Amino acid sequence: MTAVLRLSRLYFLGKVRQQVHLATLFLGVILFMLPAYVNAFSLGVNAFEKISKDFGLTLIHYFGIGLSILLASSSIPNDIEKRSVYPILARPLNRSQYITAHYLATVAISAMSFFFLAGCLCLSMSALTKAWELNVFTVVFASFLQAAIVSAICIAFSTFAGSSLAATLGTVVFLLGSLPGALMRFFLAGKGGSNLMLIVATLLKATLPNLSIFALKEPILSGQALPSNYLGSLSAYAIGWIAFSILFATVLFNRRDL
Amino acid sequence: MSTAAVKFESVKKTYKSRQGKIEALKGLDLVIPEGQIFGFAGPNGAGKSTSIKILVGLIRPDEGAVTVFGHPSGSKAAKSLIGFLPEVTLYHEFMSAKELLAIHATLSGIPANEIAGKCEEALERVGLSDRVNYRLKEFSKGMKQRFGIAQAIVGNPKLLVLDELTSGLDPKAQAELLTLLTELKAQGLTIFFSSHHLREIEKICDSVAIIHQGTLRTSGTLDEVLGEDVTVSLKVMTKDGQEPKGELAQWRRDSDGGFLTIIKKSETLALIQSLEGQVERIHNLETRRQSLEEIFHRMTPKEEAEKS
Repeated sequence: MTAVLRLSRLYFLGKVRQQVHLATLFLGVILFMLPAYVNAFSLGVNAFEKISKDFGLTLIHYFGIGLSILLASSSIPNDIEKRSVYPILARPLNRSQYITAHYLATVAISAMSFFFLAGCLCLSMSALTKAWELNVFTVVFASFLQAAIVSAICIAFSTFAGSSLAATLGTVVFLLGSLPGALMRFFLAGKGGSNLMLIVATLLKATLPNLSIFALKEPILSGQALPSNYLGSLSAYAIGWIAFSILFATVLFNRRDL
Repeated sequence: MSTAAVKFESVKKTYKSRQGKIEALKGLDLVIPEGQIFGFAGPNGAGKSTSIKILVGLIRPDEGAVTVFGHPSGSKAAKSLIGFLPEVTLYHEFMSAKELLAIHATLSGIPANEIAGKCEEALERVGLSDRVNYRLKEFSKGMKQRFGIAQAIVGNPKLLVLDELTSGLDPKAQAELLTLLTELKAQGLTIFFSSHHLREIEKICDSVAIIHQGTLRTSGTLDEVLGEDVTVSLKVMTKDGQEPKGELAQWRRDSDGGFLTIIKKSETLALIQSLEGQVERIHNLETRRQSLEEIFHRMTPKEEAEKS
């Protein structure tokens, strides 16, 4: 485990130096100013809170997922391209440990970005509403769990594909997984669609992770109470998918000639 | 009698590509004795990199077996005995030499309380003890290669596998690294040294192998490989100014009117006897051993050798 953590720290320090994080900082500034900006143009209509949260959380969600896909898809292909993988894997180290180290580094960066942006939004909202808007973190935590699943899937794809293909496949999984089942059946099969497409839609929904259950923005913003232990159940579901994806990635990567 | 550090036994490896199957290794048999510097030469595409990758466990052979001190290559036991420096590696240059080395030491299974000491020792052995806290981006190319050796030896390996160690370095840095290798050998390491620089191999290696198109062309101690090819260069002045007769040698006219030939040492006596009566005087007679480069060119087709 020490080896994995040490290696993970190395990859984390490598990823944290990437210029893409300037975009995170820039987005943080936007989120910090967003509520005040929306409030200024609300013309007395007291809806700025909902609009700001809705827009801010949507930005955080898609930016965070995009960043995770980008980092996860490129980690292993970059390592192979730079050949820095060779002296690492020539050590008495399992490939599963190597993959896990990359995954932990990606998730750590992803968590940092999500919660930094959530902090920016929460602080600026709280300053205007004079109350702590901590429910922002609940929604962002659910988005982070989605990103953690998608990252693990992208890493699995990147064990046999280049970074672009892995990112594309990861994005497709994210988009299809985010669609509610009925919507996917509607898109793929439509009203007059064939039975085959209906079966494909049902199969896809059954085999891909159901990311639509992580969409907590609407219920939270509309003031609905979450069932007790809902976040715990979501976390367990995410951990299951992550474990499966890392295992799948290991099986694929073990077969690969480097 | 030294024992075998590495054994390749009928190793075959085929890659599949869009152009079809490429046989990288066609049954490679090779034994590398313990405690020696072993030179591994061959033109581009000969199968050197594939052999090295199989040896360090990055790929698996389709057929045959490779053992490292008796352990199957790719096993944890084998990997823990190997230190590997690939041909071109872009290190994580934002880290200091000591930090990155500590990570490699951890991955090699060095206990936490010994890591600092092992890192200092490794950097000392490669002559970088004054650069412990320097970031790798501040290192010259030669220093990076020295660091590469440090990361390879930090896990206390018995076998050091070095792929094109001196590639792209200036002559001084090359010479320093070769000296370092002989020092490491004196400390008990077996060194597997792959290089395109055949003079380097000739200079420091105890044994050598030449591989071409996935098969071994020659292997053995340097004396065994070079010793059979002692040649004699003979220059004679003939009485009539004409080329000497006979089929034992092919002559070429020199600028001063003499005739020059290069023959195997074993053929010298017969040739001189055949020249009796034709020759006014022997102008020059010297023996010389063929260089590894000459043997390499003879054992690999010209177009392949030129690539290397």
